[in-house]
Amino acid sequence: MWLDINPRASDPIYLQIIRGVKSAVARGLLLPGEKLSSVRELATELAVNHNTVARAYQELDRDKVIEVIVGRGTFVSLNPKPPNVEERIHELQDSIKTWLIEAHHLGLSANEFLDMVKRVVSEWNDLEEVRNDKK
Amino acid sequence: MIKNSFDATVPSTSASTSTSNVIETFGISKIIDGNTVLRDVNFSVRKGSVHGLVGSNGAGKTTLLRLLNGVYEPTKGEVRVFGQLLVGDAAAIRQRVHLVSADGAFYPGFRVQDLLQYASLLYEKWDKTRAKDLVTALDLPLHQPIRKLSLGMKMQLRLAVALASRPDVLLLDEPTNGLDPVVRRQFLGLIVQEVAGTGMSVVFATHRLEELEAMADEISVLYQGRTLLSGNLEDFKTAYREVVAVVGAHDALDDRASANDSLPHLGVVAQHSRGKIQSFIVKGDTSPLRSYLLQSGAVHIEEQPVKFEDLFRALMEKEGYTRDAILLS
Repeated sequence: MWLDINPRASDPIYLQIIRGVKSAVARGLLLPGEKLSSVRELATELAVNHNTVARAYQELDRDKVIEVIVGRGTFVSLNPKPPNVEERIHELQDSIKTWLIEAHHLGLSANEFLDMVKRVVSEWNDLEEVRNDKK
Repeated sequence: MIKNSFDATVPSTSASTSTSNVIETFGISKIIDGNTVLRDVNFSVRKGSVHGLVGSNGAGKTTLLRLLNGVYEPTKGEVRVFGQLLVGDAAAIRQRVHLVSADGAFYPGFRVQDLLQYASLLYEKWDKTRAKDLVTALDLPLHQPIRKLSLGMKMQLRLAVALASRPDVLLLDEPTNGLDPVVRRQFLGLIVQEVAGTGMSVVFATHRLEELEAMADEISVLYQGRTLLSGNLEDFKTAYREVVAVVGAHDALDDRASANDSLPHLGVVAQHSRGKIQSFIVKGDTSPLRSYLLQSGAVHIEEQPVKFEDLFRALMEKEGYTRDAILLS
């Protein structure tokens, strides 16, 4: 299954669901406009408390990753416009700094680190092309 | 409502008015053959919640479940179900509170279909369609004598009977023993589905912490007949953190921190050391401990959410319940 939950991990299950859905959307496993399982269906499938799934869906809805349309179901957003974009870009920038620190301790120069980032991005782009070809 | 002798209380996010509770116990004790099996237990189950019950072997989980549907009567204290005091003949309550346990006896000679027929007469809210769907989903052999079924198959039959009788509260005593991983997932999924769909409440005693973590929104930890901890699982997970510290070469920390009486004041509820690595389970703010550790010569400090299993073990250790690894020669 595209969503893999480990109840024994120290991360709360609702966070694992949020990450799983976000990752599936980013990887193109879930396409914009695609219908998601209902809370009850997903809870049944994962054997996870439905309140946990509902909480994950609420946060994904607030982040505009998914849209809940009353009476019709839950869909992957067509126009994902997350709130607090600026603040979160700052957070993203901060987390890049922690990678830089790690790189420094691994003996990587700034340029070697940049090369690594470029490599990861281009691999991601290749994947994107494969996905676009399939559409 | 939080009842907790584990150092401090965790605020519950759930409203706990007595009207939202389907089951409440007030200071119940149970003495069986001179042994105090339960001692002054306060316990409540919110409507529509899954309440996980864990504890060491012999902690009193099974006894508590039997008290909740009137199989037993408490020696002391009260059990209230849907606000009503549970006394005397509890047959009416057993229409609404259904206990599924491995030692529930079957009539000898009954086949699967005989039991379903019998249950359909016994339970007022018996749902024929639901029973049929469950028999298909669980692949129950209608013509087989029950005594010939495997342990796991008997448990599935009990669950089918329980769900088809449309209870308001389902009590489960170690329900997944003897089930293979595929069936276990289906079994738990069926319970979740029922809770999500009908607002049924569940009390679920298990030794499998991973099941508890996935299924439960509330938990109680029992030890030797007492509740050590009771409340919202997510709240416990966020209230406690694990701090891991690496000490310098001269393990200065070991001498000072290990036997330090002030650690509890820093919120430490459990601690472990393995060589140069010390780990602490901390309740609440971790910064006092972190600065203390830095002063004591820690060279690296990490912080992470605590796994429920580690929290459980810490609780048990605090009570003096440990099992060390033993090398048998």
